Amino acid sequence: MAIYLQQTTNMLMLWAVYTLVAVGLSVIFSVMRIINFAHAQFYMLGAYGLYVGSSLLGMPFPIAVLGSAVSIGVIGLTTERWLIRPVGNDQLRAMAGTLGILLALGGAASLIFGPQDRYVPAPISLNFNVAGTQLSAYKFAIAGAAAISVVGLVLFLRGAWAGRATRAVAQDRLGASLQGIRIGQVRSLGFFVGSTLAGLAGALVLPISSVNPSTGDPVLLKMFIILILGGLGSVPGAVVGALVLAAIETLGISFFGQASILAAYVLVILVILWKPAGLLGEFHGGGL
Amino acid sequence: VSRIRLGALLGSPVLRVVAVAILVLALPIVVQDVYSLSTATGILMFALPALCSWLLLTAGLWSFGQGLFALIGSYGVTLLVMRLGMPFWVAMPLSAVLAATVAWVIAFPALRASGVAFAILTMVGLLAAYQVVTVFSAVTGGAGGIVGVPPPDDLNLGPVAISVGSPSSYYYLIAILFVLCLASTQLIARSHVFLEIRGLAANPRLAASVGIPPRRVFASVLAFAAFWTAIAGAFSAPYLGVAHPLVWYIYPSIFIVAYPIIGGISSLYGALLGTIAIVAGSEVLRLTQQVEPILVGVGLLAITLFLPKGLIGALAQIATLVSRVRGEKA
Repeated sequence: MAIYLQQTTNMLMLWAVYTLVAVGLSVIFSVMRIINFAHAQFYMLGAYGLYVGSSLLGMPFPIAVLGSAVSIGVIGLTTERWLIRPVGNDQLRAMAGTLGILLALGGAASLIFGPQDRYVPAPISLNFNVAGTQLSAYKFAIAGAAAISVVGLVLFLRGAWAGRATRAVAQDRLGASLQGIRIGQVRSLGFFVGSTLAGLAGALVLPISSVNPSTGDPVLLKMFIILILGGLGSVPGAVVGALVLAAIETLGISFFGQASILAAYVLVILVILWKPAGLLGEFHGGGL
Repeated sequence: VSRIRLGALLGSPVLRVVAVAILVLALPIVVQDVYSLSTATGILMFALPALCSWLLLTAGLWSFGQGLFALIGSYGVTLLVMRLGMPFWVAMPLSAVLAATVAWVIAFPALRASGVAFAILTMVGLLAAYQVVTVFSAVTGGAGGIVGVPPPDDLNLGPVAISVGSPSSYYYLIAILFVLCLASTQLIARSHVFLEIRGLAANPRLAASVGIPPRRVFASVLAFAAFWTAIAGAFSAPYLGVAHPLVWYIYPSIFIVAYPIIGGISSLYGALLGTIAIVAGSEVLRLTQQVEPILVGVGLLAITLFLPKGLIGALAQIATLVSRVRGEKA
């Protein structure tokens, strides 16, 4: 019983983290129509940002988390402005560019921070005692922060003018530009929001795990799996895809062992073949 | 006058292949130290899949899962040789044919996805292959791989006996395989199939409407690429002495796509140039273990920002510049 309580808590936390990463990537994909390979490194940088802010500069934990996330957003903004926008509609070069950032940032992190694991202690060491099992309150705090962020994003996309403009660009770029929406600004905004979410996810999870220069590698693969399950460029799809992967990695492994990971990949492959647009996605035209 | 003739000669694709073949096969006469030879062997081992990747990119297919076929090659050879006692020279083509068959069969469902979704699918396919290797550890040795892969057995061709084991003999083996791969890729690049490939990449609907079967053409390209990628994988097992899932995992598979982009996608020699630049460059600049990802990353960024036509395009620009300067002097 205790193991399932623990694993359910872990599932909740992983779901939150994966959702932040995948929703961020979905927003970027929707407005850019390219895969941002560098997204996984933005997650890694988010964790390093918290490490620098909290451990090296001595900032309070929440400020360090927010500072790190916003800094990553600015890095994303810079990427869009100086790397992807000059390339125009050349998809090959744009994706080569984000691949380049993926590889260069991983290398740069190992040069700057070294290969060792970096760690920041959780700000709350409180544990809930449920039926004799100690459950970490911080994991619930991560889930809460993610929920607030995603709900905030959805409200922004539905309500705010800039959010509606983002959805318009995702659905029909030409139509949006004819309505007077500045595509370039919306893309910058989308990249900023998406990168901020990835950085936030990396920062929030640092006290649970730790960060090293290859922290982004598994994320790179997992974010694609989630997007395929949920559908490229769909926020609800990203949330559902993240839940499926989180459940497989926690409860699935408890029940079925390592083979459940293989089952996840087979599931993904079947989903692509059965519904190339993802379970909830509208690959063409649908936006966020 | 002689320069013009040389240029005209190199304009012929057949002579280009012959020239590269002579350069590659004659290298051990000039370079004899073991370190340089092993670097050259590594370059050619990755140049094979890079050439395939060039063909795939020309067809508009982003495959980050080519490592899957290299794994079929390396594990195929290892299991056939070590478990069934098959000679390497039979096991290598056999596993390559197996990889090509697998590619052909999975291509038809996989090509239901296109563009970005296809790229992600290939990556997931490679992940699934890695999981298969770790889950069925009784056969595959799990995450530790299979160590102690023996060198290829001696090949007796009547009067000539070929024995592979020394660094230079491994170099000659991969050099011959590379030349064969280059020649067949060039053959495709000169054939009408290539026009079909480019037509499909440029405008799938138009190409299909004039009677080019998209899935069959793409499946053939994928099978061809899988064959030569598996040959490289099959070579890697006895050369490295190990069939290991990480040798051809995510990063090598991404690099395989990056080499032709860095070298320049307009020509198949770009794939060779990109592989040489990055693999040799990483050896020269071995500051940390992580130097190759940085170099590939910076290379890709440079291509994105400054060199849209890759290293080949840059060389062509330099050549034009030089000839213009000379013309002005004259």
